[in-house]
Amino acid sequence: MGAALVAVADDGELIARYQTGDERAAAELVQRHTAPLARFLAIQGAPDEELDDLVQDAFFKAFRGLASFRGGSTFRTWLLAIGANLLKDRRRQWKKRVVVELTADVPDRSGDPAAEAEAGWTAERLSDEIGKLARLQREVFLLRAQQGLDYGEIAQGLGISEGSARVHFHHAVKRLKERIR
Amino acid sequence: MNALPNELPDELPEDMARALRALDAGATRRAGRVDADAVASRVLARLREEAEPASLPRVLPGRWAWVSAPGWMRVTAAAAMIVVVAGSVVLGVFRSGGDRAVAVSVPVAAVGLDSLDAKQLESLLRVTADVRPVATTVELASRSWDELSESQLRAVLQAVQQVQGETL
Repeated sequence: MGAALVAVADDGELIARYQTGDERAAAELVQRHTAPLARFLAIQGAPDEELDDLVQDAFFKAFRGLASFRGGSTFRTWLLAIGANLLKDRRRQWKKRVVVELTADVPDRSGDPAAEAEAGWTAERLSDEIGKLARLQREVFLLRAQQGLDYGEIAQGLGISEGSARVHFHHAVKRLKERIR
Repeated sequence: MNALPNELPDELPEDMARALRALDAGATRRAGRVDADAVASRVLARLREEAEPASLPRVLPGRWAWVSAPGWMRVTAAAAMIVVVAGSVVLGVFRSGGDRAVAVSVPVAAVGLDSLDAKQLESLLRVTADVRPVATTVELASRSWDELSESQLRAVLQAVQQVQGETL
């Protein structure tokens, strides 16, 4: 019965339970948000061998800092923002190391080699250009376009206004459009 | 997953949306290799590990905290206490015009107990015991370095320097 309740509990309830010492609630939060967090970090070029550690560190930091989580944003947005900060810090350490090449899974385009090549090329260019965006532009772009969050959530998670989130997204798309042509 | 490839925002141009879907598919495949169960157990273990030492002093008040402290910490604290007491004693001796030879031998403890051999330690303890009657006028229990005045600290320092000069 307890397990069934945990399965339907929202993040806020799980956080409250964890804060009273229920570790199963924390484990459930990790189960729930590991994949989106790992996906968010992976698309930004986190190396495979670091992905696991990054995810773990982001959760650790999130749970340790739960007292400062005011619930203005969702737990996921907050967690993704923590992950993005960790990634930024780690990038400095990785600067002298070989950065993993992001591989795009280009869908089969009816066996048209030219179309496949073009799609692959565009995806590679997009990956490069996403990496070159200013940090806030990149995060807003990915939170919106990859994670599917609305502007309000993005704004709360990143500590900016909703209008500012929209502007960052607009500039990111504009810049990417210019560069992947 | 929160955003399936087909749910990407429609404000993206078609070619960019397609490229992003391809990139996201790669990211999703890589993310799938992260074991959420393993992450959960490692995170919880780290949180437990971090919580334990932090809560110890609060759980073990007063005497128990002292008893449970590591040996080196107790020795250091005892040494610090001896230094404070000894410093107070020296001041007492100086003020009362007592035996200077006894007074200057006490602050050796300030040089560091680790550097003393067994004989010197015995000597230190004997001297401390010998001058105790003098020290009763110096409020032994309430003294600490912070409470000593500048002139008192200077007197202790001079005594230490003198001892060091004699032993070299």
